[in-house]
Amino acid sequence: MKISGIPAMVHMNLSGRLVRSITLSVLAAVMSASWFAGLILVPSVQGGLEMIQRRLGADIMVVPYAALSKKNYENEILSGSAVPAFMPAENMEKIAQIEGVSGVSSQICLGDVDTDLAREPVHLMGYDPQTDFCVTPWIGAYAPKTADAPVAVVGSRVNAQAGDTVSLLSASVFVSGKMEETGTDLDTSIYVDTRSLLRLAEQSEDTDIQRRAALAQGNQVSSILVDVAEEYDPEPVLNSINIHIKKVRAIVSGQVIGGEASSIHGVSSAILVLTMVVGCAAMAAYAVVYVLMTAERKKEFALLRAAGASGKMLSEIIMAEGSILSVAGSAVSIGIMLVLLPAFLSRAGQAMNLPLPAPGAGRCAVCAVIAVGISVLAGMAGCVMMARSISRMDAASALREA
Amino acid sequence: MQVCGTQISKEYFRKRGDSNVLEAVHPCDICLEPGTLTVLCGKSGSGKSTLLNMLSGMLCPTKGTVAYDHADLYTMADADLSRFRNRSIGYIPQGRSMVAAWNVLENVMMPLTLYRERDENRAMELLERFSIAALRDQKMTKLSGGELKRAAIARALIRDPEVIFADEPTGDLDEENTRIVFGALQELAREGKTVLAVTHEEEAKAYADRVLLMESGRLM
Repeated sequence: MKISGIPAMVHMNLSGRLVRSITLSVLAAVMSASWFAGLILVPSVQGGLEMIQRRLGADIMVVPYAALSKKNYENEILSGSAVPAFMPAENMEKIAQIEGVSGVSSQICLGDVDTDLAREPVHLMGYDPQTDFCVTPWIGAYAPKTADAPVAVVGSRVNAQAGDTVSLLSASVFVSGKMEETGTDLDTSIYVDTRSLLRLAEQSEDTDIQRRAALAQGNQVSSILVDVAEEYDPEPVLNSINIHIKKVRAIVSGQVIGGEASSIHGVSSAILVLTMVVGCAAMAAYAVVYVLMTAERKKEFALLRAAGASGKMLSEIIMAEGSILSVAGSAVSIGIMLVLLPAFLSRAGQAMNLPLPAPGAGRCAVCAVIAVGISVLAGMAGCVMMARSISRMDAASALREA
Repeated sequence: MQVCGTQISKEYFRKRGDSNVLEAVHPCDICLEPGTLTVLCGKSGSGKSTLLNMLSGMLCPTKGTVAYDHADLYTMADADLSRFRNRSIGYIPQGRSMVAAWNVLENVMMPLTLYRERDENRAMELLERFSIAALRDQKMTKLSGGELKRAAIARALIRDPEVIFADEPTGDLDEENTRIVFGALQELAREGKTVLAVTHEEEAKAYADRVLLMESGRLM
């Protein structure tokens, strides 16, 4: 059965003017894609920053001063790079005495080694299971189950899964857990409890690793992670550490992240503004197209009026065409954006040197609904303008126009 | 159906000379009878199309009434007036008056489609009557001026209306097509329809049952 009435008119108009229909759909698609990208990107940047903060896990990091002298430590820490430098472990006890410190734990860094577990060298890190509050909470359910064999927790880019046995420094190591992706060098780290790591390093044929392990054996650590009691501000605690502990540098993790965060926020704001500008430009183009189209289609609607169409019928035709085109264009563009989202976030994350976590289905759905809604509303606004203009026109004069 | 305009006039508010008011049609009385082809002649700008549009329900007069067998056209609500135009009035606009995005058949069936109706047989009958049946699936851009005008007449007749208005129906046509169009209008009048054609073609007078003249907005 063939369609009739206004649906038939709408179908004939849309299919009869394919170029016009496609142009309007593309404009709606650009508009909703821009808004969708903006709505997805900004919370992802915030999520990425929070992810790194959670990943660092400590309020203050204390590292040997020598490790920082020639490094841009903020970038190093943000990118998760480990520095194989050492300081006396007794610093831990001194730091623990400082007012406001609620917990301290040490880590050692033996540097990078080439393995079959990742394309790039992996960072060998040792942590103290007795005092650790950074790695253990992060690994959660992946905590080691056996104390006999060396056990490791690996970053997300290390090619091993929980339950695997892998070769590390020529020895078999059981992988007890795998961490979430952060998009930083932390993803290529392997954490082994310090005692087991030093035993593995002694058996290793890598002389650099052996040398650093020997240093660590002399009661040395690479970093001390400090947890500040909730009622204290980390800043005075940091100052006390820097004043009272020699040859170390204390860094407030939040500040480091905060410093980088402001520049990242700047980039994300620029991206947001850009996407919004594109979105608004598409809206403006949409409005202009409708204004031009109103002039172009005046005679067409005057003909319908002469043939017996009421003003309400003309409005219905205009609104139906506009809503079909804007919903279709938006839906297609959101579909494409959803397919391209992982690649988009990956590229944006690389550009910002920040892990951008993929949003959940719920947030994607909300963003999609908002983006499509804005696009459809813009389309409807254009249609309302056109319908008002058409309903007020002098059909008789419009018919006489060439 | 008898169509009567009583003291109808049209004024436009425009800056022109000393007055802000342009009187396009001065108050006049006009009656169109069934079975009659009335030809309204006059120079460009004399107000003949304005008068036709007021009589056809397309343009509300500033003053006066238009009655179709005593039914006052401009007291009807928009939806009722539109439906009345759709059922009772066939309107042939001047120039190329077709929806370019549609094909010939779709254009001819426009008045039916608007109100969820279809009668392809009737449409084909009209296309055959005006010798354009072979063009039924063609887009309007492929048609000549004469074919377009014949399609416009077919569209105006799709509902077999009792009153037909034609605004400069032969304005851009050659002699042969002019003869075809006026011949068709005369035939419709012979079938008992009320027909009013506005034109400046002298040849039209030969087909007319009644000729009216307009000059400077006044019906002579």
